[in-house]
Amino acid sequence: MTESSIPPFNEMEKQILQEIMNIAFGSASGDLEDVIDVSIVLNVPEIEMLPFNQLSQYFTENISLSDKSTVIEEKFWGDFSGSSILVFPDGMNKNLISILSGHDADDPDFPNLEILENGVLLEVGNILIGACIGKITELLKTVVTYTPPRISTGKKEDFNHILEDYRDDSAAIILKTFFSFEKYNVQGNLMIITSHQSILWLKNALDSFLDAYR
Amino acid sequence: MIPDQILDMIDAGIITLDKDLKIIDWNKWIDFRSELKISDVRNHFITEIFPNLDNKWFKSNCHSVFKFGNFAFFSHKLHPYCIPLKTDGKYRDRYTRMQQDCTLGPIRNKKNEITGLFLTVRDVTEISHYQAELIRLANIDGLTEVNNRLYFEKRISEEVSRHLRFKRPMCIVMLDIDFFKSVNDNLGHQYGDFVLKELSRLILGRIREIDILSRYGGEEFIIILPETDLEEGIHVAESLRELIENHQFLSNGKKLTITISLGVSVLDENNNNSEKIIRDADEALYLSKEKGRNRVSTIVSGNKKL
Repeated sequence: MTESSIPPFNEMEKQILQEIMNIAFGSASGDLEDVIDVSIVLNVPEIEMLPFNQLSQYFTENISLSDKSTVIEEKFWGDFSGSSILVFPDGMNKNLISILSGHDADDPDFPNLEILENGVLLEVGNILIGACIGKITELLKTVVTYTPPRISTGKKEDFNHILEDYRDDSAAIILKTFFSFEKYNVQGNLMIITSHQSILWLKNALDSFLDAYR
Repeated sequence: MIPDQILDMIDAGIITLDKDLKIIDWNKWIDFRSELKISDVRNHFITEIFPNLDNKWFKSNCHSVFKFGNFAFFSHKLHPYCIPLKTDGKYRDRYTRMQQDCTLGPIRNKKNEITGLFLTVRDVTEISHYQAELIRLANIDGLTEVNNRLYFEKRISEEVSRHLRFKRPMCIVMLDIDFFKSVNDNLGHQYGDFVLKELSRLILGRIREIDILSRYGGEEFIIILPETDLEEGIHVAESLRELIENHQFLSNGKKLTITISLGVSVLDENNNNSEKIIRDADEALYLSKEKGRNRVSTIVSGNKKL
């Protein structure tokens, strides 16, 4: 079976995938608060299936990016592989940086607030991504490995490199959720883009997941 | 057998921990650089052997890896090191400890259950050194070795923002060497360079550590005086004027005295952003020049004042 001939998801498969995402993200929210000691709300993700060549348009229409946005990207590998992209449209705020880093962001002696903010975004972003991917893979009974997260701005030339790793003729499954550190008025979007190669494995995994309930 | 050989030959440290964060094992790389023997630390809590790890960020990342099976990445930019190891002699002037990039990840049993953690440690001291050098070179004026204009422009925004938020006073002093062109014309550009370097040294010796001196133009310098009201700012400026007026510059047997003109401005409700405070300092400096040089002027709420 060639990659381009993998059939798309049918309605049943989409419903199972949605249900898995509901369970995974619902569980991740509570666990995250336990790990980072800060309350975070994760919405139930929307699922889209798109040919790769529509990804750029999808991002433009669905994600508010500006020069002052921060984007964290982290790839994961295994039977289930792809990229996670975390977008903070307005960056962080200083109170949250102080809470998460343990440093006083207003301390004039701290060498560089930008480095502190980027460090916090990378670490928290990594945990947030790990929580979501971890819960999904736990339910699908697989494991993945990760590459270190990368940080960039919301400028078009910075953001477009993320799409360079995907081939034009492949398809993508996008899981998109909104997250919010409510108490600190910091929010953003998390997208998980799975590669075309994962789709066949995912179809089998969804089938196995359903087997447990038959 | 083969993995053990590889573990002891790779140029990175590897530590394995159990679910209670007790040390199970580590490779020879850690043995050699820590001056500890694995046989002495096995089954001890890692936070007992390395107390610097007994903190929120390390524990919450361990918690995350156990809970989610993800990896945690510690960059030297935010956490200079995880394991306190000595640095090589070459970089000891700058770093007392090896700078490290570390990764924490899960160890699973055959049932894929997470039973422990691994921590990898990479020595990035040299990379960190060159990164710091690049930043320093980007921010430092090559001749005088004080901050350059680029650095000043970054700092002034931060300082204005911070002082406004906490309602603290702040001053700017802009200064310029009087008749500097004639120094270059009569004594040569090398002498002119010497004057600029010596002037920078004298000013640095007089101002506080928290004050930020930058070379703003050819013979123009600018100083940010944090936590300083206008009266204090004028006092500092006058002190610098007098210091330079009374100093004899001497190089290659050639003596020279110079004077400087200075302009002082203060952050207040009329001057509540970087552009305004710099503009007022510049106008005050111009006023000093107009009124005969070798003096301090200031602009107070739109009124010029000597």
